[in-house]
Amino acid sequence: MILMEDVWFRYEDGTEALRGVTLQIEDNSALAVMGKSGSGKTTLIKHLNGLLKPVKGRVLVDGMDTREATVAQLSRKVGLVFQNPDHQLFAETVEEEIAFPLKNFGFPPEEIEKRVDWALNLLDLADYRHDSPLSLSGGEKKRVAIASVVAWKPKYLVLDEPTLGQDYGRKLELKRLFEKLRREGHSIIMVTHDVEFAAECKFKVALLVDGQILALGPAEEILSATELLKKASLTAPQLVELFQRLEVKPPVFEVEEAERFILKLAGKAQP
Amino acid sequence: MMVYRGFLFKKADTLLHRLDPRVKFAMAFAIIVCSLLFEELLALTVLTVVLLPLARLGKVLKEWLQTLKGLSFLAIFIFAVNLVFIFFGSGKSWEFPAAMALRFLVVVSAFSLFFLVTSPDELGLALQQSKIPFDVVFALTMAIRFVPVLALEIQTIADAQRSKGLELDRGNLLMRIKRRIPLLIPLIVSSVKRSLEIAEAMESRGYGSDRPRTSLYQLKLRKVDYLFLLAIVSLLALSIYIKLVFPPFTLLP
Ligand SMILES: Nc1ncnc2c1ncn2[C@@H]1O[C@H](COP(=O)(O)OP(=O)(O)O)[C@@H](O)[C@H]1O
Ligand SMILES: [Mg+2]
Repeated sequence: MILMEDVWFRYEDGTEALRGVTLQIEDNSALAVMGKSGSGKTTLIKHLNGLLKPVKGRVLVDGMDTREATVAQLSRKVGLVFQNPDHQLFAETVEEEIAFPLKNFGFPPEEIEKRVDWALNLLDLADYRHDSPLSLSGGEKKRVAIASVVAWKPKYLVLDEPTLGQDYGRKLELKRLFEKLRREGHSIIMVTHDVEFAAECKFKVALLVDGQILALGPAEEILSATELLKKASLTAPQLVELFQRLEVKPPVFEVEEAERFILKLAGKAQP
Repeated sequence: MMVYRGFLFKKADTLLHRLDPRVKFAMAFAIIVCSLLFEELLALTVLTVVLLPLARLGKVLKEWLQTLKGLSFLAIFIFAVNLVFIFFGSGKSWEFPAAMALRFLVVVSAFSLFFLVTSPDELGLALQQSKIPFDVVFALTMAIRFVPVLALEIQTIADAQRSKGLELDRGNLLMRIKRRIPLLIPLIVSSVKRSLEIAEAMESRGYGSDRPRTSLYQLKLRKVDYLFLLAIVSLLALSIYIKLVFPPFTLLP
């Protein structure tokens, strides 16, 4: 379990990025941190593996205070996938890129080989294993970045805007990946603007506004609260809006579910 | 890591800010020339101390002191290396290595002060009116503008790689250098990418298609500029005079 207790954070230039965040991330849970750009989402997740330390309050990762552990120690448990893959890809091949953290964490060579294969297949990258990561498209780079973190199987997988540059099909695959990892006991924490994706995944949602958590609850509840979303400068997913206008309760959140529902409606309308 | 802040323009309305950028440059230049003229501790200390009230005048004392603090590690390093190779090597006084370290501080902190009180626009204007081609001026001012962007980028890259278990500060010097390759490559790649993007954006807006551009503002020396120039020239003249007339003096008999 990760505990954030009344966490305050101020950048060197005086920007108050977090103002009393209290958050509990259970084992084997799924959380989406949402809010407009500049609301402190990235700052928040950088606290989870100790890249940033609170100026007030504390962060406990499985009981360990982040101020008393190194980033390397914490990262073994909390795997952070950064937003921009260009900021991390450097190896000559995709394979080496994925092996890099495994070497840093001191996995034995046979284990590294096994995990690289596993991660490549998991993210559908096996065809590119000998290619340079720099020659890939934006979406593929993003997947390499995810694979390189998933490979060490961190207990908590944290992703900053994982859906950027991914088409609908890839997003569905990502959703399936999250489900698979959760079945294996991992927790997923993702930062996103993408209300559609958050609704589809049905994660618990934390709404962040100006460095404070405005609301925390199931996706179904938060993402259909129009007024609340407005305060966080977000709009409800289109599906939710549609079903709210159709006055269907409770609203439908997944595209497949909506499809079934609409077909049923249509079937009734024209016998 | 944050030493670069001491080289970024800080907006304010002070006498120093209002000075002509060319005069400000002459001032930094004169101080640097003086620091090269002397290798006596006393003279170099005086030069450093002269910068202090100037930094205060420009309301950038805090930033300037930060530069000094950031550089102190390097200065100590220079002192140590010189001490080992010169003091023990040739039996010269301990003052010489100290002077070398101090000289380094004077040169860099003089530049720091110059950049703190001179906006990139002013600098560009000054260069342009010195008949330096606009392309060169533009490239220079743009490079200065991108320093904070680059610094933030290095930070993000370091964060990303540290999150993958990279420990930057472990092992000997050679290993530490090697450990920075995962930082260097993404930095170079994204910098090149950005410059290509900027070049395309500039071209699509017609950069370079027109006659040489003129500027709205013309730099003109005012009374206070002449006063400062006078002070600068006097300082230089005095230094050269002292250097020529007096034999090298030392603090210890
Ligand atoms: N390195 C930094 N130095 C100073 N301020 C920063 C830095 N990084 C982010 N900020 C500021 O902190 C606030 C929160 O930023 P961030 O956590 O990146 O938000 P988000 O990820 O939600 O867009 C913003 O006001 C941003 O400008
Ligand atoms: Mg962000």
